[in-house]
Amino acid sequence: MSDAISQLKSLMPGCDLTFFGGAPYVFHCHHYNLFHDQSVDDVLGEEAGFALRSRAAREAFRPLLAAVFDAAGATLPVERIELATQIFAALGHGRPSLSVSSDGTGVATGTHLHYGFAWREKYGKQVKRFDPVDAVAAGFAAAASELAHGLPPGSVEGTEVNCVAMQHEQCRVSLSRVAPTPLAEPLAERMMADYVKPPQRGLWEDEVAAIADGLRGFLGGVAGDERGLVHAFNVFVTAHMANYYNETIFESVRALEERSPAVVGAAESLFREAGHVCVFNTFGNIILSPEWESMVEKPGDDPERIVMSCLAIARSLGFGHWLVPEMKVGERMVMRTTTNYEAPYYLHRYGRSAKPRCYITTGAALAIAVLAHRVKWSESPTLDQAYYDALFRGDGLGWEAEVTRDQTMGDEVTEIVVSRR
Amino acid sequence: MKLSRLANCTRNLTWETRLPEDEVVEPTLRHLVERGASRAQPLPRLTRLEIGAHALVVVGTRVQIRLSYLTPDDERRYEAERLFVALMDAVRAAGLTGAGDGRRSP
Repeated sequence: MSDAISQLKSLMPGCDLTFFGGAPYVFHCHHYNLFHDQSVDDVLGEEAGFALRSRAAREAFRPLLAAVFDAAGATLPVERIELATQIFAALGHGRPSLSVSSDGTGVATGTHLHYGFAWREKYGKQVKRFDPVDAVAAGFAAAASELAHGLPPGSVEGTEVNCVAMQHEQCRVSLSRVAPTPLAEPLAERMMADYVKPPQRGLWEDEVAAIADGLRGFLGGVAGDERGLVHAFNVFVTAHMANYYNETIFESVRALEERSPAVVGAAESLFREAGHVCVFNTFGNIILSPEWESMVEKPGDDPERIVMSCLAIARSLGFGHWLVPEMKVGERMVMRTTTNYEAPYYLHRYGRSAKPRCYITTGAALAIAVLAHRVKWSESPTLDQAYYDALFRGDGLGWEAEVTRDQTMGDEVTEIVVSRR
Repeated sequence: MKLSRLANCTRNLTWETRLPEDEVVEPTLRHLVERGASRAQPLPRLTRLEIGAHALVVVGTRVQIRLSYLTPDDERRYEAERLFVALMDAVRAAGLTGAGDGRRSP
């Protein structure tokens, strides 16, 4: 990645939000990504879910690609397509091959796209899949095609016709022209001042900030390999557009609120559970990694140290300014965010909510308390599906979360009180 | 020394072992470099050795074997054991005892 493009990455001081070309981005692992997308499909159905995910990816990648093309002075379609592919790979999404005509139609292929490859790696031995998974690559390819040829936003659509998750040899996305659809104005760094609040200090503040800085520096050097994948911390990692995650979650929930209000609660539970999946897999594997042992410590069984670690990890991944102002080990933990990556999007796009909407943050708070109190870190636990189920499903949880304040409702902070049942 | 599989998430790609003692670490790493491994130190106290398509990540006496995700499923255990044996050979070649015969967890 050239210096001019690298300089498009920025950190908003005090907010722990990260931006690339002015677009907010965060790190998530393949467990989270697959669970997130599956949850969208569970809520909307596979066809509508893929359409939403593809559209959201197209909208989320457009501002990033436009900024990159501008910074690199790339004006020719062939330059833009090549650059777009490099950026997608650098972010850990895989390295597709794009072949696009001047009218925007064409194909994108790839054998190691993040979603398809990770799905096959995780489930391929146990589950036969009948639907493609690479909506993000489809949306990205559509955005790249539109911008390469100066086509109106929303005028190219990507449809995945083959997918390695369906046991095809390679993924294949077909790009076709559609009637342009108006895009929602994407949330960008320049708009954030309206939505972020001054940072507050929590327990262990100086150590949290120092570790977050160190881990952020390490992550800054992580980039996709020759196939465009990032295999780190025992997971496949992506740097991903926060607008993608937010649009897909909020649009799914809002669609259900219009169509089937009786089952909205179930959808919201799924997205809060996505927060569990994220903390268990990404945070947990970071804490158990040799890199963490090198940078911080070998994890022990002190719940406060684990909570402190999780806050630092969240900040370093671009999730926002997470803090714990109050904790009584074994009984209660109060987690607060003065900024998180969910609320600004909601407020920008929909205005104030009548109910709490920071689903990932809420689920993550509960998961942090569970990991801090119930996992024997000193015994190097195996973070597999069976252990996840034991901790988070059935009667195993043992803890409950109550949202006492939420920034999507216009509150100054989002605050979650996690208590032992 | 014992080889254990981390059953976390990516199937059979990550394995771990421990070197017998702190004094073993540096001569063992040097021996592996002499045998063709490339060495980097991306973080303080952490060494990364690239051996072919795979990597050994070492912090203290802890050694994590990270196989390339391109390794076919049915070859992963074999590849991990091959690297484990190379590691034990390096410990012995460094003139140190304690590697034992090598055991792996089930």
